[in-house]
Amino acid sequence: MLRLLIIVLSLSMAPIAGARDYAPNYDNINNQRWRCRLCPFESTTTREVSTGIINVTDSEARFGRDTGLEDEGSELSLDGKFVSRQASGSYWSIVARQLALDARQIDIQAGKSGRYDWTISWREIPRNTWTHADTPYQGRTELTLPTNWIAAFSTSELDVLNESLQTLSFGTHRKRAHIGGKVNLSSHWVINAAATRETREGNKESSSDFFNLAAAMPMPIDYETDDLKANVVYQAKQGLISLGVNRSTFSNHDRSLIWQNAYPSFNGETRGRKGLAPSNEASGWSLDTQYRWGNTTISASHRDTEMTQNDAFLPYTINTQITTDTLPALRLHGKVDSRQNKLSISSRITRRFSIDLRIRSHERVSGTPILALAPIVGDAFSLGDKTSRAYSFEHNKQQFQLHYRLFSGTRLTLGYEQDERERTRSEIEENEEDRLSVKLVSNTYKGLRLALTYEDADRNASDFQAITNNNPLTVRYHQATRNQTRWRANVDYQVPNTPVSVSGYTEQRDNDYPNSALGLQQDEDSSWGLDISYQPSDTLSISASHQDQTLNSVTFGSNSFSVRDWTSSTLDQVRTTTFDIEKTGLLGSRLDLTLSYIYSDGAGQYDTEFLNQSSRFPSLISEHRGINFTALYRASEKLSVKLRYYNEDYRSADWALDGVTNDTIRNVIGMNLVSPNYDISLTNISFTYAL
Amino acid sequence: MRQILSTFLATFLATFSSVVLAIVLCFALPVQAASDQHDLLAEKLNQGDYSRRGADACLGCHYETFPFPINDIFLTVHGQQTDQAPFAANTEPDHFPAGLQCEACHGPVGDHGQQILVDETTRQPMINFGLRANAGADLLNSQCLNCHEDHARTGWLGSAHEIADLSCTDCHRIHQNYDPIQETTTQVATCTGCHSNVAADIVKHSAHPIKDSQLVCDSCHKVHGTGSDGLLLATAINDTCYTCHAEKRGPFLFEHEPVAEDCTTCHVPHGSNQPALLHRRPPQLCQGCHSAAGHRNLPQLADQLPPGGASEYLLSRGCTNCHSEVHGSNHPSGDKLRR
Repeated sequence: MLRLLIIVLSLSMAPIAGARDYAPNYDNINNQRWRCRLCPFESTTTREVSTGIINVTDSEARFGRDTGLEDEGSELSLDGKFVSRQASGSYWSIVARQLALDARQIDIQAGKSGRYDWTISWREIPRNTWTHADTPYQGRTELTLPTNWIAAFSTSELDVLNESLQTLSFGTHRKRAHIGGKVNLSSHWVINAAATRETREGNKESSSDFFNLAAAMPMPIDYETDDLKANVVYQAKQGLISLGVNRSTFSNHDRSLIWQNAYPSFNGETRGRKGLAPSNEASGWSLDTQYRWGNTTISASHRDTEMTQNDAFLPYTINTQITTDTLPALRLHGKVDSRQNKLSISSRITRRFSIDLRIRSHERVSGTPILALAPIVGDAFSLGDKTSRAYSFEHNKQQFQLHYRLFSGTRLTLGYEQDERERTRSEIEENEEDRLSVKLVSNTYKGLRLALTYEDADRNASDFQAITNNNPLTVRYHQATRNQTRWRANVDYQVPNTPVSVSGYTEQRDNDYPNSALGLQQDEDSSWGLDISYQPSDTLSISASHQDQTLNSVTFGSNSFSVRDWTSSTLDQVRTTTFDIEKTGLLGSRLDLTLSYIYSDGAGQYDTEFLNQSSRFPSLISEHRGINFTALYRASEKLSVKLRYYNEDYRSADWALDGVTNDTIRNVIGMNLVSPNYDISLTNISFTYAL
Repeated sequence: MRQILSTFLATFLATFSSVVLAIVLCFALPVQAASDQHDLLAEKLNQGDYSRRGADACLGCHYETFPFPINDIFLTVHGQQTDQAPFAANTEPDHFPAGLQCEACHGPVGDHGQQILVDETTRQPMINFGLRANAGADLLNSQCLNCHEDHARTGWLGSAHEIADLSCTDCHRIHQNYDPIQETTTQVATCTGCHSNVAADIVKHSAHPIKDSQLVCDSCHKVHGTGSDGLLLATAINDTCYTCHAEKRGPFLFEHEPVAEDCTTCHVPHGSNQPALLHRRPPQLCQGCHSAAGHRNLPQLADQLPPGGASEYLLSRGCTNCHSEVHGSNHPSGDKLRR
């Protein structure tokens, strides 16, 4: 009822809102003599090739995590840029970056502005995670141990473990091909279409177990994702309507991971098998509309998506010595229907007063059959029947905002938001959250911009239903009753008549879970930052910044499955400082220099209190220091030389990894992963020649 | 103690905010001139007194060595003679402001080019953008939206950036030959100029590949507004994540409920001090929801670390040493997300 009232109220404002603000008056234009003789229309062409050498002083996955420069040694750098832009609006460009590296990119664009645009691109995205991991396993989708392997119940008793270790690295490589286009059939009709194919290959660290005896191992990645999108738009001065379709197909070329049991088997479980991510599809359509009526704009959209997954089931177990029930089905026939609706009404009632209403709904309806199954635990024995799990939910959100322009450049916004969730098969089936907000934005005083935001939200939860074997005092934090306050203050100030600007912010977000006797109790996020910039001329700029963030959380638990008897808390602090200086036009406008420095110091504290005994874990450390220096020298009109020096010093410590060898944990074969610590430099000299 | 501190901080900050607000309001009073310029420019739009010679009138003064160079616009799409562009040739009134040249964006010339005002030092203003903006964001943006109110910007009104009174030229550069926010190599630096907290996030222990621009802001966000939380591309958070992580889409035989509902229940998208972009690490993250009898509700103490101990719940991958398929399992024996 409230929702309907607000919609009616918003729409009723439209006639009052009147004609569009700031609508230009074109009635008196006489442009017959507008020749544009002084307009320097010109066609431009850029043809450049850059080549050079990159040298990296050491090997480390994290250093080259996303750049492909994880190995020590030299690589060729190769870039190219061919761009042509005509005064008539026709253009084409080919931009290639890092062609000799694993992170190569090629973008080809062509078109005529206002008529059509085409893009073809190729992107390779490496993701290197570990340089050095030790494992006794060999293989890719079927992992085996050496033929002389001797099983034992404890890792320290695996006599052949250390001698059978081999080193491998972890990482994946994405290759993405994309083609897309936009055609303006007329001033009213537009067609957009795009197709993307991405492959992702490599491996990731994973682990698997036989009951409580586990081993870390590599998991293969061989994915292929195809996305197709198209939409047609009809647009006019009063509004637009768009109809679109989309389809996404994900294929995993590896169905499962089989591994040899490193521990003694007691029911024939010499091998285990787990399923890898199943292939799936999603397809749907969308409708977007917008209508502008004076100073009121009404937008509505609908998205309908069907997600399906129909991979054939693996058997209950790979252990042929166990008799299992017949599977209830050969495949899941998994289906989820997702329906998303949005309605927005924005109305400028007067030049000072405006309102916004947004209503959103997202319904996820699972059509996946619920199956009765007889799973086998640890590939060894059955522990009884289980039913599969599929979830549906509905998420509705209404947001109403009043904006009042106190005076030119200063606007006050009052907001009310209601967020409702309904779930199936969940301990908390319903949540309702009310949020009040106030925001003040001021640009009134020339050079000074101020923004203040305050929000207060209360989330209620429906009655708890004990449908799992959880301690009934535990309420899952994403469903629990919650009180949240958030505020943020931003200041940006351009000091008058000086080249100095200063900006700063401070932000706080507090969550409390008052009705959760166990589980997450509270979490806080507070941060502040300061930024100073000095730009005395077009050729010199200096800036420095500092950000400080603190995150903490508290969780209660019960060792005795009753009331709280232990507390665990985390405290993460991250401080980041940057300094940048750029000086261009030295040596007769031939030389540009830039220097950047970043220092990020992250520390994590983990504490537990149990039976009056306090326990503090060693600090988690993540300290990143980077210095980047570039010098660009324009030797002539056609030739320029660029020198880049980058040094990255990274220090980290993680108690979950450091000192944890292959046999440290009695019942988990580790991979000897070590927190990265390195000091690596990159030097790149490249020559750019304009053809 | 924490509560007292919180109360104090809240009181202090409320007071501080009030003081700052008061200062701003005080400062606001002498800026009648800025407000007058806004009203004057709005009135000029309403009167529609356009020039007789178009850009030739402007370029007579705003030439290449003028203090505020403008000619680079002719190297961009805005300065070409293409359909629907400000410098389109021979446009009909139906297509205005296309073809209105400089006045398409800067508004009608009015008296700007004709007379010196009474104090003999200032001319009637034209609409200025960027650091020399002389009108409110709503007026400035209306000039851009006269052409660019299209399918890509249906969510602009009421969006977070619009409510923050951001003008288009706070992010976009029109009079220079490239727009940093539209280039993948410079977009992140442009956005983090305001969102400096994200600049800190992307160098944390675990982060998306934003630092090296393998992923940029508009890979996930639609900054002109979408009606979604956080200006995400898709209405539902998960749909944005599935564009790169389609293997998590399922549906699965055994779903993990928070995964199906919202990826950010466990993950922090920009960067985290914890592994795998998690809010907290296992086992504490998991124990926020799971407390069944047995190993799930055990307290984890530091003496369970080497050399005194070596808990499988803390070390290596923690809970996921066994429960490796946390995003869901399609295996008939995967009810505990171990297969």
